[in-house]
Amino acid sequence: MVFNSFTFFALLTVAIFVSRAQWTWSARKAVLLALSYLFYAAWNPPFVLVLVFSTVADWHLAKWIFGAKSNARRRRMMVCSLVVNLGLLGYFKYGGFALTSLQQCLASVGVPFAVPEWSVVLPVGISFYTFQTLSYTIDVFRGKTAPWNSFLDYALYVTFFPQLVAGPIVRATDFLPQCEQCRRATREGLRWGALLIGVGLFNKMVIADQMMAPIVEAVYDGPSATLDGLSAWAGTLAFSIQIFCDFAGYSSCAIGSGWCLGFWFPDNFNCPYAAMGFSDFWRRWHISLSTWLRDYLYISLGGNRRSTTRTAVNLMLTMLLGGLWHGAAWTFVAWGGMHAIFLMLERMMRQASGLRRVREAKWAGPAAAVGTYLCVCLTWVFFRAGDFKVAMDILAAMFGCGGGGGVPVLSLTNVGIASLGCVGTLCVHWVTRDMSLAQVVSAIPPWLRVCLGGLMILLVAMSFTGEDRAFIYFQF
Amino acid sequence: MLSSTSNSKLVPADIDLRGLWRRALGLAALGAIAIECLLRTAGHEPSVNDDKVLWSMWRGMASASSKRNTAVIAGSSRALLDIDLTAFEKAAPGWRCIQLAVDGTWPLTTVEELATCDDFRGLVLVDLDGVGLLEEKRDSQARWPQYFSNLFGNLGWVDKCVNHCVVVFLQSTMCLWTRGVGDLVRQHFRLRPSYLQTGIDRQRLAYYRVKMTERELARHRAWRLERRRDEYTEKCRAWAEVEGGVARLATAVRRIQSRGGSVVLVRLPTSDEHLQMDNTEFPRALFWDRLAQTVGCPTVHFQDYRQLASFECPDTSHLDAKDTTAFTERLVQLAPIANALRRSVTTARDHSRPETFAGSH
Repeated sequence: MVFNSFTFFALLTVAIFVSRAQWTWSARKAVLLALSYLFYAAWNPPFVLVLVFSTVADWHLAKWIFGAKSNARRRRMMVCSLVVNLGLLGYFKYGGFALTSLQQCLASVGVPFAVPEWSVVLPVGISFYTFQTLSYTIDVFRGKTAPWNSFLDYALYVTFFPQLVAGPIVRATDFLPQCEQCRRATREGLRWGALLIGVGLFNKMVIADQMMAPIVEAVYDGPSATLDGLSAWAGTLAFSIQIFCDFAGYSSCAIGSGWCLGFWFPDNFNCPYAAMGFSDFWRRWHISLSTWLRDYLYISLGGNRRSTTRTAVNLMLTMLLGGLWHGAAWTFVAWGGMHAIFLMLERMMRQASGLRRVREAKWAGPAAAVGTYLCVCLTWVFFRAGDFKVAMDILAAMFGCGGGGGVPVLSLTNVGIASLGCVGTLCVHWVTRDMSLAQVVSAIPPWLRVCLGGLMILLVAMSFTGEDRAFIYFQF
Repeated sequence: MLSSTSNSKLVPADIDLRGLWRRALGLAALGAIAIECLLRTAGHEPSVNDDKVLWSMWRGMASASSKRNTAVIAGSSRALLDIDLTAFEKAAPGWRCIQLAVDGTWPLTTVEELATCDDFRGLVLVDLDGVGLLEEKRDSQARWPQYFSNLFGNLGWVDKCVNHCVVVFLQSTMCLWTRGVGDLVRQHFRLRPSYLQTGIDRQRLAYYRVKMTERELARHRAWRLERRRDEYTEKCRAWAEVEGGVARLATAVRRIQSRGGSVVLVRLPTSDEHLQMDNTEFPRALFWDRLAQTVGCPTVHFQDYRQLASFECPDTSHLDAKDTTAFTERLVQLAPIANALRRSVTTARDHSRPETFAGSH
């Protein structure tokens, strides 16, 4: 079930009625939990068992970690939790990739290896809910939180349908205390939640699917060897807008749905294309994942507390694994690696005292934002391309070294749409980079709010054409 | 921008959104009505976006209606545009007609997939020509049966089909939902209505004479011929090039017939230069007649029947919407098809007659 579907609206409506019903808080939580399992089962019912297994396993492991009498036993239980969660991920997501990579490795040294058939369906959202349950057990291990007493609350934390399949990755310390007190959908919560859902659907259905996706597909899914430079740039810029609007749109819908039900989720995006530097980018892009990687991987490896070389290694490992989390392909690893390189370059530039005057110049901010955006676009080439050959062909076309030059792949209209989308997004991000939603809304006159709201609803409604475009992050 | 306020996790309480949604919805509704009126005035009509989900739902109906006489149309755009489903059902009372043809592809894989379905015992009308049996075209329709298998392979199809039913219903009632916002922007909001119209049952009609000017029709005709010329080899093809496809088709036909179903191959009309190219590459005596002898089922070639050959193809390959009803009525009354309909009914009755022998002594 996806957010841009009539069945989801039906489910959310039922959930809102449940939230406002005059039942006990426990009864309402139980029904919300049942609706969450129904939401997940709508995709493929048997895989609910994987979700249940992950939930039950980490519930018990956290209790055993907390109750362990010795440090050795605590560590063993923690390792069990890591094995269970990463094992699930490894089996469902990386099994085929590992076998194929092994075959390629052995083939390069002349050892033949026939890959056994590995047709395992990837359960939707597994990358998100395994990280979520893992954060719970790690927080208990570190003493940041005690294991929760109510299994109902914990199961709802893992399974809650607004954020189950594509985040935000919510921390137990943020969600579980909300379950202690009775929460009810209020009129204000419904109005603001509906606003976020509307903005999310507009981003996803109108901008990402209707405007940008056909441009991206024409460039990235067509023959890449003869691609012209203009189309390569337009396609990549279009993808940068598509992936932002698709994913941020999903997160908006998730957070808005949570507000409709009286729950708060952390922000996942904060104008990432207005970032001045890659460190700033990762404080604004997929915030729940970047903070997860920082807190549970980067800091565990030592963070920046060791030598410069060790810090660089920690950074590179974190970003490579962050890339691999996105998908079982070396292009995602390369994407992560490029981000690590840009982060290291940024550190070096920040430490260079000779650049201080440049950094303090008035134009430095916008220039840094544009420069960061263009570098991020170069990394998106690897993220979107199906393999390295396509990625290199597109990069070559972007820098004038490709085999193209004949008939352009994209029409001028499509190039114009991509350019306008890019400029528009950069401007909106720059203007609102330090503003909250409330500040943006209050800056808009009431009559304009109605017009924009009406236009948004109309365009979203017209975008229900039946075209089957799943959220991009569903595949992760 | 941050969705939460800077210092609070609660929704912003100091901005009043009361009335915003009511007014915005009202404005959107007015906008929708205005756009719908504009589109209708410009000659647009509601049309369903045909896709694999819709195809799969009708394919599922073909299996589900196993207790009822079901005729399936398999083929390419010619079968989509030339055959009127309502006229078929009127001419063959008691029969349900389901459209499974797919534009731009050839039906061999669909016929093979129907052959593997034990629930299907009806009639398959296969629109076929020599091109569809060439190696590079045989599996051109494979993605549709594959999508059907994947979709109904797990219970997740309920969610997808429910959503699709709502979308298809909206598209069949209002023009607003046929063309997406992206399409409108890319075509610079040009409101020229399409000459094609598709219904919920995948019935597609081509209004060449009503919705195209003479100049547009001439250009469309030239484009159609250009497409055919791209594949044209200017010489007679060898039987060996289609032998593999014929063998696969014969196997599928035998399977359908063995459980009481029927298959009839139909060569639908083409005209002028299109027909000349077809006859050069696939001369009738060397292909269609040999196919009829090999495949083991009745065949209908439009040139054998004056009542079919007299129809005009405005674009050299498809009938105009005004001719589909008459064409379909005449097609269903032809002996090979009428006999196949009768045979399938008799066989269905035989399959449903209760076993009396065991209890008769």
